[in-house]
Amino acid sequence: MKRTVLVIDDDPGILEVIKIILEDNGYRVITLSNSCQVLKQVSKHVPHLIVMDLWMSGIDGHQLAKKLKNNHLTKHIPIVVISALSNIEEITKQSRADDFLAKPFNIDDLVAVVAKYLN
Amino acid sequence: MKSNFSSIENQYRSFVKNFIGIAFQRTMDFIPVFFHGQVEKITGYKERDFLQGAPRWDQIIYPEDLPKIYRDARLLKKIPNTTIDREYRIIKKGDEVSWIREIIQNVCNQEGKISLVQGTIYDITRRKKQEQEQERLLVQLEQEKQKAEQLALEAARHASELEAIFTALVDILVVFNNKGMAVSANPAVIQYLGFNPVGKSYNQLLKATNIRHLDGQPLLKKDFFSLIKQVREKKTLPAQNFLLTGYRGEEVATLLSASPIFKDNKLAGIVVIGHDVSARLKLEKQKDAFIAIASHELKTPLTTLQAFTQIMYKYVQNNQHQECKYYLNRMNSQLNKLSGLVEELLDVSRIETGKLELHKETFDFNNLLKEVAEDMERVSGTHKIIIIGQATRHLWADRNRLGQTLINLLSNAIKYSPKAKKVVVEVTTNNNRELVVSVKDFGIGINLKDQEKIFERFFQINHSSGHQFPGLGLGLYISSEIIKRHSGKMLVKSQPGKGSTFYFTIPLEEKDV
Repeated sequence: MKRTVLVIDDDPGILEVIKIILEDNGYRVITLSNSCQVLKQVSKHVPHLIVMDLWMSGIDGHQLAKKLKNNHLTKHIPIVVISALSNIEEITKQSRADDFLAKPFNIDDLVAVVAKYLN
Repeated sequence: MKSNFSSIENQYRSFVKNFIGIAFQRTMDFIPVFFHGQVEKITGYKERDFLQGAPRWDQIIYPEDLPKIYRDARLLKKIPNTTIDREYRIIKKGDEVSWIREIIQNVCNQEGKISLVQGTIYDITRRKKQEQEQERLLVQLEQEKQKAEQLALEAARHASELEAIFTALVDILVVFNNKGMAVSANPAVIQYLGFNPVGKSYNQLLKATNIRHLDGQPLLKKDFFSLIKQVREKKTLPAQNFLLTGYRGEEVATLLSASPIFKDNKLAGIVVIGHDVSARLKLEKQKDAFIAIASHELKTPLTTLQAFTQIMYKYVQNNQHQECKYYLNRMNSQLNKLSGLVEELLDVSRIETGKLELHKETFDFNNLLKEVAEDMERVSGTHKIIIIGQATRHLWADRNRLGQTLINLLSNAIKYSPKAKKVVVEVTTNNNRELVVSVKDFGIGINLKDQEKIFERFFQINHSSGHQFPGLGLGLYISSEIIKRHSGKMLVKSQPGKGSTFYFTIPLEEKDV
């Protein structure tokens, strides 16, 4: 059975490109551009991994990651944050996310970090 | 009758003998009839000398005073019953000058004609000297008085100038005495702080103004007093930014500086000057925020573009159209360049906000240098990079950041020596204390004026040939900041037309193996 990755980003370009790369590598990808729907979506279908942007308009990605990690339904799901922020490493720790990917990233790096949690 | 006469004569003799002056009678032409009394004491000559006409009285008169004596003589000759009381100088035997007072009157003969003069002479040298001394003192006193008045006038002028500066100064200025008490403050202070600091101590002011560092951390008492101590040790402190609480309770970023005041070479107090920099800092903050947001926003589409390019490249991997691969490669390298520029802008905003963090690890510097040099040789294709020497110890430093510095120095060396074929990198370990790396090119060089500014951000060389070199002017700024963060130094030596050498040092820490 295919592993499911939930990708959350408010930029449709990033969403699309990550979807293509991960699907190419044999994952099932669900994308969400509106972070408000995350909890609803997650309760419908629990993904194996969440890849999310930290800096989204409308919501603080940092808070969202924390929320997911505090929810008993979602706290076991590994979270990889993507950001162009300079202090991404620190924020990753604070938001209790599992890993990070700095923008701009290489396809291979994205594939590698996803594989780390799903294979 | 006779005895009566002789008794008068005796009385007269006794009078003359004890007379302190000279009694005389002479002709109008200075020929003495008689000359009695202290003649020798007053003139140095004997009575006899004058009676023999050697010298004649007018010959011993001080030449400057002679005309007056002659004028008097004409008067005495013409007008009967004239008495003149006069003071003048004579030259005594032995050339000593003394002052005399002479009371002289003319005497008429039996025909009623003026024939003689007679009178008395006293030595008044002592009195004259006293008078002269008094006069000299008076003159001196007057001069000193004038001088003092002049000085007072000048001081008043200075004071009024200072007063005007003090009052008109927009910056705040507070003078403290040696006991740490504010003794004066200009009007701007009251507007700035909302109260008059005069009469308050350092401690009270520290509390009242709530001085903090720019990051909001309070300025600790001990840090504050260590600053004061430095000023008292005759140093002028370099200006530093602090936050003060202004008169409306708002935060005012203030550039504070302090200097000692000396009086007669002794410390008399401290003057503190503050300048409102909140507007400037706000602008800088906005600019930094702008750079951060702009480069962050640029990164998102860049990421997408790069990813699509890479995906496409995989699709055309087995394609027969080689051009496609070539074009995609070109696209990718341009995208890399673009993300490098964005990264530079982000680095600047990291440096400006103090967020350039080092991730130190232990590594072999020689390996890093070799990797970077090989990469640069491959990318440039024109220059050979010659490495001389090597680091004898492992480094405890941020490998990525040092790599970035090396890339920057080497790409500059290549960029600014288009006609050269090599770049020489020399590595030494100085006494096991620090690593010294130099990157030498044989290019256009940098003139002295530009060398001073070369590590400033956004600085770019305008080469005299009119040739423009691409870039944002940030590489050396970032590199030097990276080296600074490693407690090292970066400097340049260069000769226009011959080339440049950039040096950087990294202190070797205990953890270096």
